[in-house]
Amino acid sequence: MRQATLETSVALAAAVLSGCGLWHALSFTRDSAYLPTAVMSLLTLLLLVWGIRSAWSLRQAGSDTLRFAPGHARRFLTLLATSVAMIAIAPRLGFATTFLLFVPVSGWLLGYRQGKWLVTTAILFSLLIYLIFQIVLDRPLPPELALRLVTGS
Amino acid sequence: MWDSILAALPLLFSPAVLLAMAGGTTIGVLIGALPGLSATMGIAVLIPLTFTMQPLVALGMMAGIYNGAMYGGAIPAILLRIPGTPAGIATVFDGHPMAQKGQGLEAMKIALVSSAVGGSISALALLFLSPPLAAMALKFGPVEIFWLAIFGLAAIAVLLSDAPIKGLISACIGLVIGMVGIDSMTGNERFTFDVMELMGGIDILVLLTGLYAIPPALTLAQEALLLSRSSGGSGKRTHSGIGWRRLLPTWVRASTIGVIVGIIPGTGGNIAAMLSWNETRRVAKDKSRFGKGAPEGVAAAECANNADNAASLIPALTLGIPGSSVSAVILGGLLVHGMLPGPELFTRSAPVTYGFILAMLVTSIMLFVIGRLGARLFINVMYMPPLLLAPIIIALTTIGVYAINNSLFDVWLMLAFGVMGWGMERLGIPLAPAVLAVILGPVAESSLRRAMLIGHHQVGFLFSSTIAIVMVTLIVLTILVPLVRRLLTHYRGRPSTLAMAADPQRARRHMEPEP
Repeated sequence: MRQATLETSVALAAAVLSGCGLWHALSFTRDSAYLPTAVMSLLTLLLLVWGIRSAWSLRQAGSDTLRFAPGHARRFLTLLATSVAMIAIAPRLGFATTFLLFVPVSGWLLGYRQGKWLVTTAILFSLLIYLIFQIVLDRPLPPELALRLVTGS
Repeated sequence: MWDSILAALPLLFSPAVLLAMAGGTTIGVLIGALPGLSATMGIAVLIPLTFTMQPLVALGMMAGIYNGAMYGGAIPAILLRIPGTPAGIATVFDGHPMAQKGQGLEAMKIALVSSAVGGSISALALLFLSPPLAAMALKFGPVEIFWLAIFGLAAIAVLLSDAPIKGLISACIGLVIGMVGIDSMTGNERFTFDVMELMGGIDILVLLTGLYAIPPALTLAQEALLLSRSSGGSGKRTHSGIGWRRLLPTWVRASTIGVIVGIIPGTGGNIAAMLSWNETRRVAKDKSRFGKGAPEGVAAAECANNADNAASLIPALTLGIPGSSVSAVILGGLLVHGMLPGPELFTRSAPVTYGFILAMLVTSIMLFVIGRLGARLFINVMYMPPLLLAPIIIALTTIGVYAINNSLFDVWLMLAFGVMGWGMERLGIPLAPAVLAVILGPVAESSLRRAMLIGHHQVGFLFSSTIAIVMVTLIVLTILVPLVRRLLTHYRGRPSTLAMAADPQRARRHMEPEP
């Protein structure tokens, strides 16, 4: 796929979204609608111009082909997926406990294979996070499962 | 001013602030030394941690990160030919050839001293230029503030991007994000879609962290840039002896360029470094040495990119117009600590404000000491595995953002902004205009509404003062000059220094000698 193809698709899809936003902004009461209407109109126009320019550049034979190195997309999606899982479970397990799992699992899935470093980093990082946020900053965070398991409380 | 400086000194030299400055400077150098991470990202990640700190402790840490990261970028630029930060591009030209000749440590010493000199001069410029500018800003009414906000937005949107249209798109996205929530003038909801958490608007910290911390982490994991220890230039060391006195004129020239470039919104350390390197080469008797390991080339680039640091805060602190992404993040940090940028900073919060300005000076000096003591550590940091670093950055930002309001919604929002930011970067849409628009949009809107009320809804009132007309002229020039420059470049077929600063690969092609 060419960069111009990607830009055309994104610009046109965003222009449609922006158009919907403009329609939504028109429903605001008069004094609150001036700026949203003006900005959404300008954004829609700019996106259309960008889309048309990108589509125009597709006519020329170009060397803007998108090349994905092997593993790029896989690593990107892996980190995104593990991050989503981490955010979902952190309030249940506690942040430090979740990081104890998240850092080595993500590192391993991304392709880092030094097991000793994975475990050491995860333990040190989680400990540091617990110390900074719970002890030093005293932020009211969810209770830590690891601490409950260790203390038996 | 002197009373405020004297009042700030005891605060500045308290153990907590000194520790924060030293810690911030060290963290800054470490962040700068890691290719792919920048000062903006470092400050964005750490702002949530400073939430419960005293304002000057937090600001001292930010000052250290800012100055430290700018120097840190020189380490991989010299040793690996990879600029750690965008501002390190010009350092590659002469720094890496020096490393190849076995003079890597000398190049690092020159970069360190030049960074400390540039940073100190920049902090002095901030100290002496800000108060008069802030006093002038007191004369600004709603009309002038409106045009000033528009000028800031136009400058960033047009100058920061290769394609002005993409810069303007980014600014519009920021304006929309800034409008989310309840309209403070009318009490009506805008773009909240009945989501309770959006009623109060989008927290600037959530946006900053999402846009500046998540994309580098995703890119680190994606590209998995593995640096080999054998890529650090020639193993053979040679000592040429550094002629420090010979570098003095370079430092004077580079500091001047850095300070001037820093004050102009929409520019940045990369442009300052590139202009300074080019200027040093232009005035040199033997131009052929440049690009082949000239110490003056390293000094010019590093001194200018650090001289840009504090200077870029001048419009941000005095007028509330952040001229770069990093000053926008620092502005966010000030807002978190209840400090409203603008003339009030120099009256109501004077001790803390002057303390922060002096912290920029002190951290520049600390940089010299920390850089010398920790040289080996900083070199080793470059080789940290990115596949381990990426999840750590995500984890740190997650807990940091959660801790601000104890809101999981904010964390999801941050991740969404992060993915959006990553996509914008891939499409060549700059992030800074969006962030600036979130800060400046509400300022522009409320000023416009007040101006229209005062002027009885007559549009002519917006052009009724000399300052307003000057501002409008500047806005028109800001938009037209890049277009004219683009046309000239097209006809001449040679890119300008500014264009090259925006495109590192193009810069290397045009300015580096053939291997």
